Amino acid sequence: MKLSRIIGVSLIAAMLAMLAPQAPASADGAASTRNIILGGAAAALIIINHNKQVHAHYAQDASNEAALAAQRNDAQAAYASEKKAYDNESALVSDLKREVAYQHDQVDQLRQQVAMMRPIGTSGGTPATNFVAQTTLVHPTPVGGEQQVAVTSYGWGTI
Amino acid sequence: MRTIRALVACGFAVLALAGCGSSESRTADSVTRAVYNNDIDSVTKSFTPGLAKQVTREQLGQLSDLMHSHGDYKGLTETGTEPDGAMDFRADFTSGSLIVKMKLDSDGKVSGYRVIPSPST
Repeated sequence: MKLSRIIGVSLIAAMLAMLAPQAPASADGAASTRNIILGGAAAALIIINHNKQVHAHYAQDASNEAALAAQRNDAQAAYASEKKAYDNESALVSDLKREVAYQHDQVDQLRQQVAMMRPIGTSGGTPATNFVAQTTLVHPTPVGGEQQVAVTSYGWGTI
Repeated sequence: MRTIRALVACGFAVLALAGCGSSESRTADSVTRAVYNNDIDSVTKSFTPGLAKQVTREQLGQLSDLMHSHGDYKGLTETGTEPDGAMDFRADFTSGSLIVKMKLDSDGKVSGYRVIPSPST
């Protein structure tokens, strides 16, 4: 950097020297030397400009590369995030499937219990039954007669 | 020899009479035993189709529990017949007894079976 400044200052000085009023050309050795120095400075200026453009191009490339890398990183992060979300959704679906299976089992068990409560041979509603009913019981009395007593009986059919 | 033949004949006669217990009593005993054992197939097998449809496992379980609360089942004794044809039995258990009323249809199938807690228990 320091060298570039020195060269730049030298070039400016050389250009100013070129703009300065000059004495009539004379084929003396000093003028020849001065012209050689100015030509070298011009060549150096061209080289420096070229290098500057090359470096600018490299910087642009590096910048683009960095931007692409950032995009790649973003894409990878986005992919990882999406994959994680998908995994979570898959786990949720599995949980829901298990829940549905459990509820299905519960429904089946309840259906079996209802079927067991239902009288045998019926597929629809439960007909009225008289499992607990009042039944007349005939009791002999001490005087030789009979006494009818209504008692609670358990069973099927009417007697 | 003649005495021995007479004794053998008497023995066969006793066995024959013992096997001649009324079919109603045997039916009542088998149904009561099946109820006691909570065996719904054996219970409904003796019932008329209409009566068998009324039997639920829950009801059979309740009746079986009622019998088990009186101990082990020992057997039935016929106690009488009512004018409508229903027969009365006393079911004996180790810790009490129950009254069993049973009615048969013309085919010998049970058309009514009811159990009454004995007043003495």
